[in-house]
Amino acid sequence: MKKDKKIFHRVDADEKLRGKALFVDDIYMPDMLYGRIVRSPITRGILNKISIPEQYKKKDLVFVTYKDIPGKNCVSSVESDLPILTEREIRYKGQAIALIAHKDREFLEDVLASLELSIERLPACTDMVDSLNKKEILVNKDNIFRRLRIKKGNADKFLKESYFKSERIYRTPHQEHLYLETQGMIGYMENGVLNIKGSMQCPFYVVEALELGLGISRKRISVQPTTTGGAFGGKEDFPSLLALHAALLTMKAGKPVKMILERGEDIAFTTKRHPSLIKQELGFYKEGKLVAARVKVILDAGAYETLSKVVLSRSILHAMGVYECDNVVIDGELVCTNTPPSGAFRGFGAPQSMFAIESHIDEISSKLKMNPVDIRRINIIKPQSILCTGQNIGNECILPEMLNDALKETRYITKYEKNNIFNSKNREMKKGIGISLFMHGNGFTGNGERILSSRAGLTLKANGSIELLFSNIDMGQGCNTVMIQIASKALQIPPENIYVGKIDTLSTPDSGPTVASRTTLIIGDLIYKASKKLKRILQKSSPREDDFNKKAGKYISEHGELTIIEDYRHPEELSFDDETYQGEAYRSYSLGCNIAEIEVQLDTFQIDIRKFHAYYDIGTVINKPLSEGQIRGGIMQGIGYAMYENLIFENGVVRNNSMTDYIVPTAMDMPQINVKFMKNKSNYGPYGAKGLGELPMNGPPAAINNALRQALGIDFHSIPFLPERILEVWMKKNE
Amino acid sequence: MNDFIKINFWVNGKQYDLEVPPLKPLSRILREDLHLTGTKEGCREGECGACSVILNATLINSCLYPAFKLNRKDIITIEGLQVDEKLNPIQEAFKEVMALQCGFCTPGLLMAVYYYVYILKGDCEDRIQIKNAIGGNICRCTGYEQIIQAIESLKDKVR
Ligand code: FES
Ligand code: FES
Repeated sequence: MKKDKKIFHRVDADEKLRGKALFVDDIYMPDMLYGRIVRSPITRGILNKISIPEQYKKKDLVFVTYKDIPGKNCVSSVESDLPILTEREIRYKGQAIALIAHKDREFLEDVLASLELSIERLPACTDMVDSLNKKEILVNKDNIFRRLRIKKGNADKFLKESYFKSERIYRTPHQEHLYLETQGMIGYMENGVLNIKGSMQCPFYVVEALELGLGISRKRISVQPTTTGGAFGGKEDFPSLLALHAALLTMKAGKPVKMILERGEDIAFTTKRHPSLIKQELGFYKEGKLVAARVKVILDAGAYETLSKVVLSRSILHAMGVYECDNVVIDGELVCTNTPPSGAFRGFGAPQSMFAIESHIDEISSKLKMNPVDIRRINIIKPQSILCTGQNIGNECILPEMLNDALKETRYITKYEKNNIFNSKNREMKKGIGISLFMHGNGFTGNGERILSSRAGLTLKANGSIELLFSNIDMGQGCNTVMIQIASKALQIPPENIYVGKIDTLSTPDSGPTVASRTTLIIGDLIYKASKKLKRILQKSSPREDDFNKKAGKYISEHGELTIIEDYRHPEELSFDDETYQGEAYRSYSLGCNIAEIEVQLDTFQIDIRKFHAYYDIGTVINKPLSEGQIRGGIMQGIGYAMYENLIFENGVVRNNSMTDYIVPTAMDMPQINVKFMKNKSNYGPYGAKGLGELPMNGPPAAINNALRQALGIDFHSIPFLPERILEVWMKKNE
Repeated sequence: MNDFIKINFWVNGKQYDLEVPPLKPLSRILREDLHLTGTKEGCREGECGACSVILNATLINSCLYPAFKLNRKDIITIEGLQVDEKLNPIQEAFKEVMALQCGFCTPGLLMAVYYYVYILKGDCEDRIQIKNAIGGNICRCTGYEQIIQAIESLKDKVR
């Protein structure tokens, strides 16, 4: 019998199950217009003129160009280099050059089809290799937006002295989020206040963008996120741009304007996961100890830098995977290409790095005549290991234990040996078992959380209920449920008495963006502290009373409602140097181990995942079914990234921009996944919890690659593993 | 320009008379003319299943179903699933095992499950058949396992 504790249901389950939850496209306003984006038809060039044919000019068409932008023509980000609407320079096909709005959608289609553009074409670099080779110079002297470096020990010296050296280059492509709800925004003016409703992860990023682009004070901006239909990072940065577009149109029109991207537009022109090119040189001692590493991680930022620097930073900080190495130099480069700006996507630079290092280590094991497990045992981080930034991982690192459990419970070694025998005898079908170990740093990198200084809290309402105040978005991951759960436990009151306040940036405290696996960890902790504070205050006002309602009632009758807001405080013992990349890059690291068991038929070359085992250390698990859901969804996206998802770019634009042609896993493609949580407790985070959202994305590609290596004896250095590519490599090998 | 046609049809037991352009898809008619926004549009090309509804006892993608074919048809949407405001057993099962995350695919999925369980009288213990039944519905959040578990849990509850 399972002795499951009471399940904490999703607080949004009922409205979503009844079809009552309001997503942005479900909102209709009287007199509302529809807005569309006029996009560049060319990949690179100079815009000289755009005009509307005479016959469309009257007919109430609202038309906006960069000349209508009252503030600065840029979208605020880490690097605010993306223009809201282009003035002259065009750097990617699909770049926004003007906006139109009208009440009739069909009419807008006609206008889009007949706009007159005068554009001068320039030669483009649409591939990162072309950019690196300076085929054309797009930005700076060398097409590089930025360089970052991490250094520890003396990699050059020890690489020279090592017994065995291996050099490999890995490549990963774009990945599309394919959240089921496309991007959308509604803008309208009310009493001099600009209202923006829409699908987003980071309401205050949107506020900052509107403030800068429109040149108005945030006191006149109210951003209210609607139910958000999936995001996965895709609604971190892009909504700022779309909100600006909706705002410009509504301000010019004097009417509400709704903008919903068509699926084809959404796939083609919103942000994607950064393509990468990762070069690794690893040096080993004879017994398999990794002694030195020289790594170069190059990410394709697309046409503008936007937030790519922080993605690169996470990439290089995860470049060594879960391995301890005394002599390391890791270089990161952000390259510009004439493609849509890359952006945030679950994992944020780490999945690329993890795929490379986990595949490489596995490949080396066979060169060193070791099995894939022994090489890992020797090199993985353990309690007190020192990471490449000099950070001591501390005592909570239970990776060796996790590895042991996973090997034992899946009978990995036995299966590995059996597969070898099976494969030597069988000509129609081959079997493989592959392992990957991975981690993910929790929260913003380095000083990020200190700078964000999140605020969150609660109000004890007049009727005795508790309203939670924070501005993170429940985009499906379930943070509203988790926050109520944390408050309910801390206050020892039933969850029914607690609810999450509706977010309006004019009144809700800024608890930072909903990204970086930080919500439970950072905001959960603030909610925990605010709850404890409330408890203390009520205790003081009626020391002899046990019943919460009575205590609350007494307090309210004497003092009225009470709001408590907690300010984030960075743990004093954690410090990080943004210049040298030394110090505590992350407060805690979540860990994982994936084991994939596959079969490959030698006629179809399709990978059939028979079993998928998934082990995690996310500290204390606050809500098990929710966590399992996050993990299964993340694994599915990882499997998609590894095996199916193949965005085809042609001249800098996506050719297969439809759900028919961009293949993601369906129910039929998914193996049964055994999810297991290790028992562990973090020093940071409420009740010992760690971050979870991004971690599951990091494991599947390498686990599948390593299974493929055993099955077919081939080494893949790029994803996705499409049947036609597997066949090609297989043929080459057997020539 | 676009001529309008008159149509008469049933949605969730209620009769409607409308004048709409002949090619307007059912999903848009539901969402814009009838304000039944529970039915979602994820692709408008018949690929994601978010717009699934029941039409004359078959499961269809309403984004591909034009107005001119709608006359006299009988439709059930997500808004028609619950009786007297109580969740029906499928919705209960989804809630119980957390078979939803962002919820955007959920209405369409519930219609597909409704079709499988109540109309086809499908087997709730056969995972392959279950997967087939929801094979036309893309969910980008859950990884499907909890959805399958929800359907499995229905085996004693719906007959
Ligand atoms: S909206 Fe109809 S199938 Fe996607
Ligand atoms: S729950 Fe988000 S798409 Fe299914």
